[in-house]
Amino acid sequence: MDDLGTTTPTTLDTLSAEGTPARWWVAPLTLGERMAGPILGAACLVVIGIILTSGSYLSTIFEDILIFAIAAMGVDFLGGFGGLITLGQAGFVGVGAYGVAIAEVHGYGPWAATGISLAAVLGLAVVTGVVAVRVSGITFVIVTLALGQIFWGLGYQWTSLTSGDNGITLLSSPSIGPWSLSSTMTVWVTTFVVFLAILAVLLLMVHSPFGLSLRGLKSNERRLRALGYRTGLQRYIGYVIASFVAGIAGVLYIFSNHLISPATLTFSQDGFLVVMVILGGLGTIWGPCLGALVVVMFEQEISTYLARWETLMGVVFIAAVIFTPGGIAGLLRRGRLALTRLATARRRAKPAGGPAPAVASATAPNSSAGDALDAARTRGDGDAARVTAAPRAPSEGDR
Amino acid sequence: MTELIVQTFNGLTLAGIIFLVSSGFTLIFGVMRVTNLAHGAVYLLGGYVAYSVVGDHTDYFFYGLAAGTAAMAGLGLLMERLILPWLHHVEMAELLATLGLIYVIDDVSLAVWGGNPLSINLPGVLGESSVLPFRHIVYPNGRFFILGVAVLVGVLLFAMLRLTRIGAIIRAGVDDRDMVNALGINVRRVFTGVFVLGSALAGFAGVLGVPVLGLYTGGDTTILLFALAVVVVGGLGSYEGAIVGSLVIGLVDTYGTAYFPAISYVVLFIPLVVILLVRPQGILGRRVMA
Repeated sequence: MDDLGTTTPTTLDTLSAEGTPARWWVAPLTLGERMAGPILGAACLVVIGIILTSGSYLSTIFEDILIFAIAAMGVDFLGGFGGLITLGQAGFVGVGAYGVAIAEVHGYGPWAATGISLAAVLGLAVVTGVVAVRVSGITFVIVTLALGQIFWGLGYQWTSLTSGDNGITLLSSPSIGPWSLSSTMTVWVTTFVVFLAILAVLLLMVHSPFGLSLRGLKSNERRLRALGYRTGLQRYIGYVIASFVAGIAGVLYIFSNHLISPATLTFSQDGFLVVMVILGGLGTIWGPCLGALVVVMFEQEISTYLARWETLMGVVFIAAVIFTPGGIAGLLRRGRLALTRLATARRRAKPAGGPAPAVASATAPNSSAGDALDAARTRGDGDAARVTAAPRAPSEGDR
Repeated sequence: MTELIVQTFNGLTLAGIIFLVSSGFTLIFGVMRVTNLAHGAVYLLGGYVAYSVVGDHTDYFFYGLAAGTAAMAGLGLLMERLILPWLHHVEMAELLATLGLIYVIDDVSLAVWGGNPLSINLPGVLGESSVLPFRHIVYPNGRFFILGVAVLVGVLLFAMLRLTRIGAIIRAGVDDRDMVNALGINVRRVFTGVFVLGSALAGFAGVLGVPVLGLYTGGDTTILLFALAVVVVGGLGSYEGAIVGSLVIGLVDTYGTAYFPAISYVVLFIPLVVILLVRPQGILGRRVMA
């Protein structure tokens, strides 16, 4: 405690300046943190290399992972930041895929079909959004679930348009010169590029003023409204963005799988996307990608050894909801905090002075660690601190 | 006209089944604030259990009804005692856990009863049809029976909620849970009782629904959709709202399937859209969720 009074100014200084040398003492940790990006990137490159050199089976699985990751990131954008969890996201994936297939059946070229499909997704999102964002919380989940089922019902029942249960096969894939999506490798690379682009855009959006106000919406809508935000409009825009992202995933889905049937729009698919988000980590954008990896692995790999993989996945999911509300991302964060505490303790054991205890007192004694981290991450952006820090209840952050 | 009358009867029968399911759903939500997405899966499992009891002996139908109801009451007890306590009344976590439970229940059902559609026939006179006194409409007795049972259960539940002490506690729990607790009533036991009752209603409906809707993988999603549409239309947590909502959804779905088969799901969505635009809390719902 004695160091607290003397070093308080230092604390603020060290936190306000991003990545100051004051944190040098946590060298192993900061190094790990700094290297996380490059290491992940390198791992990605290795994986890409393996996929490109191996047979097409693995690349198909990774395509699925990336496509579902895109749709799941949309769910996370709306759910993790706006607090609106949708159980109808697979419906929009279906609209995107059906849009392309149906437009091609009616004689449009693949590029035109893609445009028509994305326009249709946007149109449907704009229209259904008006109804869906009238409610929030549990009722929003229920309404989007119903909406997703209606898209499924259309795919299943409107046989003159969708061929019903059999689904529609893709007629042709788009191409620019030699870059044709009819080859497996180009589909893979394209999917990967689109995935990275959407990941980047969503991450930017989450840290934009709009994304931060979405977070405020999740924490305390009434207060945000009192501050003069039009919360209904925010929810609406968030919903349209999330749905449109799902539509993009749908377009990629049809170019990758060449077949769209109502099976892709079932309630269990809607549920899978939410499972991905929760397993990966709600409110992180990148977490759901890990979730998508896990779920697709269950579906494609574990299912070959275990017929009852869905039971196992359900149990794992329930356990995750109970024990690790933050998902895989939350586990990683918890592990990192434990390491920080360990390092702090070791540092404190040594008699050396300097700015070290200052940083330690800023993070370690705070028991609601997630909030401290969040606050630290968003600090530097005045708007962010105002919107996120004030109304957030300690336990709400991870849900 | 004859067609319309028959469809109306069909719609009322469907409304009866939907009412049994959604009243359980809405009671659980109203008292405990638990959104039990696995309610549809419980409905389906009730039917499967009854199938195992009845098999080809249609005379055993009522044993099947009892078995399905009792088994689902037991499942409800397990869910309420083993899973929900871990979630500390966090509404979204409870919803998500029941979502996971759907995968488990459905997958186990698939493992035990296989993926082929099954059916149970009603016994004796109930399995036959009779000619109605007007317009010489031939209509199966079983559907009238199912409708009658649904009405009877609805009246009994209503009487229980309005006239008995337990009903008063449940209604008070819907209005102000903390106050009920403060009055010295064991809310924990009330919760368990309501969850068991709700699950038993789902199982009961699951058995009664088999002769009308069949027993097939994925049937749980349809019935869940109906129940959710009912609570959105009628008002989440409102028992009377479940009655009104069931009538609306049952009739609209039946007419939709009969007259616009290609887009019946869209037709089903119309009442939802109207309600959400005009009265987002549902016809008989109150603005308590914030």
